[in-house]
Amino acid sequence: MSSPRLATISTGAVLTAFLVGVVLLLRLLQPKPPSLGEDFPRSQGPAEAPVQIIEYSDFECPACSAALPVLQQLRDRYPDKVRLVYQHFPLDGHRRSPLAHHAAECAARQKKFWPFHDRLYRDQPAWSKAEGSVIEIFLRFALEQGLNVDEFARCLSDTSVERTILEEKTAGSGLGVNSTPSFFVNGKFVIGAFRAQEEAERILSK
Amino acid sequence: MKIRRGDAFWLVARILVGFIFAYAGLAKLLEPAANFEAVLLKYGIFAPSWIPGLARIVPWIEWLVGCFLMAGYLPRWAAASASLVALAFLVTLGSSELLLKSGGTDCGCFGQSGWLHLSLRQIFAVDLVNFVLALRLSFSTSFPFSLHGFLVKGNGGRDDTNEK
Repeated sequence: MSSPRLATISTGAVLTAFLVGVVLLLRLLQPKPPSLGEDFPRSQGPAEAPVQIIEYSDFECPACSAALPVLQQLRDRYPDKVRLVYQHFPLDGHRRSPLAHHAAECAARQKKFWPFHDRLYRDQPAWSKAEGSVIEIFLRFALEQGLNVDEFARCLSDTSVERTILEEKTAGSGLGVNSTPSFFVNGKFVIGAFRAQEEAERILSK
Repeated sequence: MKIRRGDAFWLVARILVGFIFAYAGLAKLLEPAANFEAVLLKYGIFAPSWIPGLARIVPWIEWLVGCFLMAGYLPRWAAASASLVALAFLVTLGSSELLLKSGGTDCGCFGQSGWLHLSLRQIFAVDLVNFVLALRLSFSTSFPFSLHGFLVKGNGGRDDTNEK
């Protein structure tokens, strides 16, 4: 083999290895999905469950509402093997969403996140298309879910709740989330509840 | 080292086309592949079974071809590959109803979280320019400031003869 050709081939190999290495290194430096303990108020299932699902969701998104029965089925089927963690990801175009997330976070502070979460998704058309203020609707939901309504109402004006939601959304964006519902199933990113269910069942079938 | 005006234009063109490819590839490689899968699904012209594979392979091709072009490594091959990829993008965009129905939406070609976002109509124009420039570069005989010039010709980066 002539020396220029050998030089070309070896340079190509080094260049390709370098370019692949750059991507792998940058991927290693990318942020990782959060690891949240058992006391995290927006989690269901044992902390040591073999399948950990982190859901990035928006309360006003119809696809997120459609994900609810899929996730519930998964939770019912594998109560000890699946852990579901909810992360706030209110989408920009949804005008009612920020308040809905705020209200849900207030419910989480009273350890009643999941019933409130289910209610928000089940009655999504009612509050998302309601005329005027939706605070009254959320206060009614809080009352029906057995929350301390005074505390809930105080929490609705607490700006630190908004910061928590925004920080969670920013962290999600940093992980590559840009649509809802998006999931990390044992760290693997998937979009859509059916894909999350498939991935969870694939892991459990091993 | 002096450089002819025509050579300077094609040097800039080579680096620019290479940069666009490399950036588009890297932006997608640093995001979850599921995001690009969702973009490909929206075009509505690929079989669902092809989408996971395409979403993983295309960004690597863009990244490697773009960097090879910028560095001037096997520049004619890299330019020919870039023109083929650009042509494939043009065909994909042209065959998708999305371009006519919602040409103003983000094409998703530069990932979702990067600084560069182009609409479907804009990326169609960019791909057209990339295709023409890359095709012309693939027939070029002169690649100043290229790895190829250093490796094969040994004339300080200037290559006035055909690529071997």
